Amino acid sequence: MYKELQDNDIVDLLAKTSSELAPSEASLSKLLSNLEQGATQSRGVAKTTPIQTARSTRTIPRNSPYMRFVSAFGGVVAICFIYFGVTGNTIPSTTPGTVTQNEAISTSAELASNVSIQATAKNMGARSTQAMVAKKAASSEVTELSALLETELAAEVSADTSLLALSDTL
Amino acid sequence: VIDYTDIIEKAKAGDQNAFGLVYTELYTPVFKYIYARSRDKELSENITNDVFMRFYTSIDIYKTQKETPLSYLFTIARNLLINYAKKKRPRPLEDGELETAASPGLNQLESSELAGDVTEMLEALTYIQRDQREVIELKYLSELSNKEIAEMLGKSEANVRQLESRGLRKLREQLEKHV
Repeated sequence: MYKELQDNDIVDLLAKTSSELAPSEASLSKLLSNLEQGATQSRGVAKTTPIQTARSTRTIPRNSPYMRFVSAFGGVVAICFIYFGVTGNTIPSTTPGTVTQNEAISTSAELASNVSIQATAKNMGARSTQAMVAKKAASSEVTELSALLETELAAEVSADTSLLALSDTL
Repeated sequence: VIDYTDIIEKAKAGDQNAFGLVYTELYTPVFKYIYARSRDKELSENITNDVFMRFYTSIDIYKTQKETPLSYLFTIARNLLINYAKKKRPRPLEDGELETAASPGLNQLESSELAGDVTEMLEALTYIQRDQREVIELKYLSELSNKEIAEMLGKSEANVRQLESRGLRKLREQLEKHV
């Protein structure tokens, strides 16, 4: 077939090859639409990448460390729920850093004095606002104690006066 | 030969029509180059599409002084073809495939969408020297001028003519040998 080929034959065959390789009109329009889509995407329209798609559809194996942790944590929560429900015990309402009324009274001497709120808070291991509340409560306690002492003192004075009067009479 | 300097500057400024002109003018030579190498029309459409998409997205960094748009597009096309060839790793032969594999070209001829003599021509092109093949493909298949080929390959026009002449002779010998 090609035994006596001339240069012109080769060129003709190359021309035929070139025409056979020509793209069809349909593919051109398809590519134009793809280009339009690409232009839209490059203008900033969000596009889901294959990695994002894979992440969003990923399932976690049931025997994975994460799933085992979730199961164990759920079990602990269930046991606590049953325990508190059966025994009626409650979790103490105070949390570290909260000052109780008793603690406030025990530090009333200090609180009633002229020690600053900040220093008191530091000594109590509490925040300034908590120390301020405690100080107010302690002040009222001190006032009550003072009133009681005054009453007792008045009674004693009265008793002493009575005794003096009795001795004078005798 | 179209001077693309102003057209590219307009395309960089966001002129869609300017980019459309580049696309319309250069799509066919790029497609033919890829189709001649891959011999798969659908794949060639996808790769050509990808070439223009990459050009479109990187047009801001493209410098017209450095190389022509045609040269730039062909560089992208070559890289994509290499990437495709790397991805298409050979798989182990299965039963019954050994006989088919023993006669190279036959399987390709049967499965090709192209005419027999065209496929033979493309097959013969793979047997000639790389630089000669490049010149023949660019001149006769992509229908570029000697000047465009010379600019693209960084050679003189005289050198291109020489490669063309030798390439045609080798191509003729190759075709005669195979029949």
